[in-house]
Amino acid sequence: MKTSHLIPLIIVIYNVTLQAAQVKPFFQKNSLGVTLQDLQYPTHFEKNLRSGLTHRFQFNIRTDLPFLSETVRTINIKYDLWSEKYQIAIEEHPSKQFVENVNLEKLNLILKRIQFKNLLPAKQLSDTVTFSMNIQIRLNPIEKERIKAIQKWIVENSTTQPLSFSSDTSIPKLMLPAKKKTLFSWIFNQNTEKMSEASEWQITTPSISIHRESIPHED
Amino acid sequence: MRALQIVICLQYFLNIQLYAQATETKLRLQDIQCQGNVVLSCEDLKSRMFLQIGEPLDEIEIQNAKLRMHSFPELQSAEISLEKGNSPEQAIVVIRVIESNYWSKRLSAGLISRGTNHFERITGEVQYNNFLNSGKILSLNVDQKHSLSTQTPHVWYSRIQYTDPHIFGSQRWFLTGGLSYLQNEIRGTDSDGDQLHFQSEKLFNDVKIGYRVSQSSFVSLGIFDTPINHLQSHWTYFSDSSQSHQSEAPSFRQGVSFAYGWNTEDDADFTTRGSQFIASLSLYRPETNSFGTFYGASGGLFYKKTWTSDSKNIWSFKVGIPNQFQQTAPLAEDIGLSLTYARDAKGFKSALFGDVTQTRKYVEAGYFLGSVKEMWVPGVKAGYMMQTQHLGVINFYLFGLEENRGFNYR
Repeated sequence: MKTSHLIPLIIVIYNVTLQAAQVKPFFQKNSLGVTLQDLQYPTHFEKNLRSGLTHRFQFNIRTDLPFLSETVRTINIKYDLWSEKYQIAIEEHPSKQFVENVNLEKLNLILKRIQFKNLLPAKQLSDTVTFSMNIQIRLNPIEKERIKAIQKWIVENSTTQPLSFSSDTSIPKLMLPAKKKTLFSWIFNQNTEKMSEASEWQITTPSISIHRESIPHED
Repeated sequence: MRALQIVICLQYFLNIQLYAQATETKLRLQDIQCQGNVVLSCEDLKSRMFLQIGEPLDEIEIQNAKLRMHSFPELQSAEISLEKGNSPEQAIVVIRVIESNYWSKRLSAGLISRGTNHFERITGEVQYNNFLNSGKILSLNVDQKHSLSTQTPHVWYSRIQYTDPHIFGSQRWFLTGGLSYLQNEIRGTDSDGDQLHFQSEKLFNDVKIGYRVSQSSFVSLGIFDTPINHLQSHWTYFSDSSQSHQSEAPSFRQGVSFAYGWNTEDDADFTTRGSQFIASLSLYRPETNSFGTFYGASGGLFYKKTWTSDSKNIWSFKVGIPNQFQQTAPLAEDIGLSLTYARDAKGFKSALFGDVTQTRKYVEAGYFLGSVKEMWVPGVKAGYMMQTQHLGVINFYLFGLEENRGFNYR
């Protein structure tokens, strides 16, 4: 009857406004980039990383600029069971960075300060422009089609009774599932709320206002 | 310059290759192992993962399997991880589960006031979700209502039910069969001043077969029977104190039932969203007594919609139309047209209940079914629900109905 311990944690994290993470834009090689610093990862994230399975973070970087409404970057992290080191792949534009065989300390340093470069050429920003930016972070995103397929399988293989009713009263009495809210229902609810993708965990940084003249250069 | 371009290109392709290495595993599945399972067999758990030993490891399928397992009532939690195989190219998938308690319990206790008549009502349900060690469900329900001020009414209802969620392994067909016992006695005076005495003792058995039409809806066809040698039904009307008339009401015993319904609620007891609907029709075998031949048909409708506003306030709208032949059933208070407001709160620890993981306060107001005749009376219900470790779901409530024009018990 009990809910998985993971679920309330996920829901709590999801509903909390991310205060600790800092979004800091910068110019590098005549391109706009952004640094995401001090992101608070899920509590059990470090333990889950050692499962040996790939963990995929998706970063949706959003601005109110007409030519950069949203751009997506990803980071894949995988723990090698034999070397006991982490492999990190950061999808950049136009190429991808790959960091191989780092220990946990190095991994934490990388994740503490993530940089995404080449968001757009600096010349597209006029000298006096002001715009806003936030970043939505998702862990292990799941497409809607996959959720539907999983849901279909669950319904067809569920051991809970669909419903019944007392023959004495003809009052419908649902034979209720013994299971409480689950990870799946959390994910499924995201899907039903017309999101294009769901995920095991997600959070969005507060939107910040950026003045072009205040953006530092890191060349 | 050309050399620099070649180096950049090589670096680019190297990056792509390394990226592919990180996201597309070359591991092959050596074995699947289970930990933490006591009742469930490892073969059962393995059957819920579509992985083949010796094949390349499919991480997407592992993630899908994890989500699927989280939805199963027999599992409280499920985690999947990899462990080293015999070589760096091989990996073992380990499923770590914590099994659910296969027993689910519900207890409800309430005080009901119908005008000047007061009752206590206690309802209990015990359900075992792994009967025959094969996922079949066996449940026992008991419902008892008794007057606090007079001898009647007294209602005792109990039911034992077996459910096969998947007949012969079918994904769509299900079956329920149950045996119900209802004992009912009422003495009193109705709104016209007529005195009435009703006694009934019935034993029902019924079987229904159902088909899942879609992910949340179903149709069912059932037969029911009330063995005559266990049936006593007796109505007595007194039009005045000097004369009495005894009527023999039809006691339909056998018939067939049809139903269509759905359930999209997100939680069995602490619902925050979703709806339930059921439409049922019962056709009774014609009966002949000293007053003639009676043909019986009855229908029931029920709809409930739950939604949440401001993430804290939970609302629920409910409407039900009862079966006219069964209006003295023990669950009469549950039928009506009502609106419920509820708020959830965090749990606490208690010596009696153990860990109380969730609580809910609620107020329900609307019109509910009257005592005997077909009348609807205004009422308000206030309750407190708890999800407890030792006793399952507990529901305490007070229920008041305005019934000054209705039936007076004696």
